[in-house]
Amino acid sequence: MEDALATIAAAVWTDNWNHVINFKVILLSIVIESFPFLLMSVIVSALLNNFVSENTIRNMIPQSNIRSIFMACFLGILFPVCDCGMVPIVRRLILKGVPLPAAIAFMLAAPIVNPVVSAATAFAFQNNIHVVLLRLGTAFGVALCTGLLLNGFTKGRQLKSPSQIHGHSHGCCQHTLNSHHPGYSPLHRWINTLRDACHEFFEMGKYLVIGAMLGSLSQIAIPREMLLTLGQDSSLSIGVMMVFAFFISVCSAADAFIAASFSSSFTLGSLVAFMVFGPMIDLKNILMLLHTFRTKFVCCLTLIIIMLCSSAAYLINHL
Amino acid sequence: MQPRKRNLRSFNNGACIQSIILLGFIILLLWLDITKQLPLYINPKFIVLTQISYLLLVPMLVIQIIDTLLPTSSVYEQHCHKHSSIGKYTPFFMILLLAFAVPENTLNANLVSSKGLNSQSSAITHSIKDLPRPLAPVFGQMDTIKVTNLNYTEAMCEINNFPNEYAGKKITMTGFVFQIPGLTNNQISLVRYVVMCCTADSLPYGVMCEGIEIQKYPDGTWLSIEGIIQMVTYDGKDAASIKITSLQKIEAPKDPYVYPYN
Repeated sequence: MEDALATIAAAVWTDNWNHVINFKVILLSIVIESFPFLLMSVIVSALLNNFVSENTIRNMIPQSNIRSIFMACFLGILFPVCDCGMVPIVRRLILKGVPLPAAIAFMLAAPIVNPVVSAATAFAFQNNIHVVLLRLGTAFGVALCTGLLLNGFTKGRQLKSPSQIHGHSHGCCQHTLNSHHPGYSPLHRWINTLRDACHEFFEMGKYLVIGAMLGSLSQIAIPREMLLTLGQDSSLSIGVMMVFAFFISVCSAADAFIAASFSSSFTLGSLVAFMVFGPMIDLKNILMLLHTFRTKFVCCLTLIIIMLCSSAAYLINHL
Repeated sequence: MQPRKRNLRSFNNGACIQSIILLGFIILLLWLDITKQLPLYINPKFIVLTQISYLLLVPMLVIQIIDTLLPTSSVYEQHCHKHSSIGKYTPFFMILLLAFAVPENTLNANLVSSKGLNSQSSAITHSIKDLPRPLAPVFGQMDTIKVTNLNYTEAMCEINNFPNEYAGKKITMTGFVFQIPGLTNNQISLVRYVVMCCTADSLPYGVMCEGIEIQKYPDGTWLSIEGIIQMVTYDGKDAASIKITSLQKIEAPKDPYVYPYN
């Protein structure tokens, strides 16, 4: 009897231990993979802070808001970035005077409308150009519409004030939100760049790590069978895939392969929704968004993107 | 003196903890790189990015150490002492702890069922005619198909999708055992994880195998097999199955994953 119990206990222990190992491997792989992108992003943000003045940026963006939103949607072609590190750059751009709608459109479009992700999607779907075009087109459309909606309905930067970020109001730490200091020597600027980068690395990295933890947990916990039973319903499948994309939080360059693995059992619209919604809003970047922008704004933005993605997917399923 | 002393000490805490974390990450990444463990987490073609990132961490660490030792050199952080609590660094410490405390570093067979076996190959059945088949002419001429790290994905796709073309051919391959519920006593699947970007997006690929008493090998046992491809009916569809002629139990290989399109 005791032997039997011991065997069962050992089996349960081994099983759970195996889950712990898988959790660790997936978590570390997400962290290691996104690490360079986060680092690049905080360094670019810090460089912008210390070396580029507001005027330079203001001169670079088109005068009309609509045109700047349009331009922002295509910037990803020049800067193929991953969604892991977008938030610090976007925050810095807004602080430097880029209008909010254009910055958000850039944040939404750049991780998808870029050559690297297009190539990965083409690979994953075995050169099925139709899927690639649907993905890029939908992402472009969603980013553009979101930008235009924000342009019509929001005012200001919608960033949290420094006091809100830190939960007190004596106004310290404003340094990181300040603009560059023209009087400083180059060496001083480089040192400050590193210091800013480090500060932002710890500020944003925390959320990336927490998001990666929840993402790896859900990879282990969500059974595939449960997803598969819901896959053929034309509207339900879209919701399921969007929720799935939100939780698993994989990179925009890799999620096409996951989507392809579902392509036998899920509708095309839901796969596109998965590949468009995931890079725009997922667990790890919504934590960073919530830290950076006002909560109300993040909720509105998420709702807009959910509405746009699901209606685009619905159209794809029914046309 | 009292307030100044407190200032100094609490300020040191923040920069000091950050230095420790940065050092921890540099050591972790460097260690993974030197011991060649990085391919277990990410596709080898991204290793250069990781190398760049730990090199970039070094100057950041230097600045943090200087700030720890010379608090006056930092104008602004001095005021921030009140919220440099340990709490906001917990996630970083958890990662480092997990990385160093859990020694195993390879995905095991437990994940196959939640990832879904062979989902990719069945995914394309509706457009199977348009499929590019670069390996079809090569395999067609071979008497024995040797499945290697390099051709694994394509080989599995070919064999699983066109069993009728390969029936009767000999095959050699390696993989780990995964027992699908519903298979008979003598059947298992031989599987490997295919990694695109990082291990988080890995998908298990494999093929069905038949052999006497093969189910005695538990999930995750690595086998190197020789066999003959045959066509069977599984789930009402034509499928490939390898009739094992000889098999050898092997140690888990150093490079357990397959990286396609490299």
